[in-house]
Amino acid sequence: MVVKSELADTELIDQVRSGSTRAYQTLVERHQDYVYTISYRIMGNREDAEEVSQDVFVKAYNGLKNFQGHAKFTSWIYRIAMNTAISYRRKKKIPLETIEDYKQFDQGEISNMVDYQRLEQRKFLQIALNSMLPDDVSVLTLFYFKELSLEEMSEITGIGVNTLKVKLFRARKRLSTALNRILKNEVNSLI
Amino acid sequence: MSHFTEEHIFKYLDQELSAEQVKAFEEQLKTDPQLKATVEQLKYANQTFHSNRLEKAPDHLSDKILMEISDSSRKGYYRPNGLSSSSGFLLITGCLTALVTLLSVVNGGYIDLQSFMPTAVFETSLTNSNQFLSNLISDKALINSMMVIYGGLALVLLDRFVLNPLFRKRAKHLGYN
Repeated sequence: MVVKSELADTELIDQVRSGSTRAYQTLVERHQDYVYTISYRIMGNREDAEEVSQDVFVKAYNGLKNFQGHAKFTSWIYRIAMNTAISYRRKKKIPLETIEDYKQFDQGEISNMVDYQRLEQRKFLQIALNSMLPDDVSVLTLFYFKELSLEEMSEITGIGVNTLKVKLFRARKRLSTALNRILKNEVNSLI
Repeated sequence: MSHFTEEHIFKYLDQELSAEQVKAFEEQLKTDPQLKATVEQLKYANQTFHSNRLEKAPDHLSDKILMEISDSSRKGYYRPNGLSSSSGFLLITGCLTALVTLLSVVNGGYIDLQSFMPTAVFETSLTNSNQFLSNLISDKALINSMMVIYGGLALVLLDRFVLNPLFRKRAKHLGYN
């Protein structure tokens, strides 16, 4: 079966239901960065994020028969990703990436000052997120995707819109405080 | 700090304030160092997250997923709409145990009314108005039947008010809507 990458999610889902794994590959490739981002933000390390992402897409594949299309496919799969990652993180004690891990990881990626600054930002962001609760992290991750309305976020997280607004407000404040603390520590370590 | 709340600051950062409000807010920023510091701090967090909003998934991820799906389909691991072999085995064992226990209680008669009452009281009760009922149904069978009815009722209540809502909620959260 020929799978056109510009097909809408719903058309691809129909093809998957008819037995096309190529169509599912297109769906995976379309959404894998988002699912991986949710997983990585919550898990705090790449290895587990990859395992969770894999699990999410397998679960979604098996659940497609029950997917009735009331919600968007993205909302549906983000919800699976969020719940799977939170569940993994609760079950096992996850080693979160530290500044040292980032130093090793960064070696091959830095070629200029802009890259360096970007990697520094990424490092601080993830370390700040690692110090926060998974619920706050998932709300922030969804918010910064910038593609979801509050109603969609509410559907994904299962939190009412008004409560979600308050949660988001507090999570953004906590993130800001955590980032500020990390930056201060970093500055102090340089002095 | 000024009359601007943190909600205003977030709205300012998310560009949700009206033009007039933005103007007033920026005027205040010029004269309020504390507000300025708070805005800068939140702005940094906002920009940092915004510019790192997406992580790139590993290149081989989709291949690994497809491989896992094709492996599991071949081996028949995934039965999303049915029971897995282990949970099916547990369910059958549980049902059989419950059935055997129920039959033992009802037919074996673990509960005997005479063991709960002093003999004199029991005999008196037999001679009174209960005699007709007692003759019709033995005490043991009566109590055991009541136990079965209560047991059944308890199971129905458990299913309707605990298990059903719980599984529906879990299924919804797992995406099986």
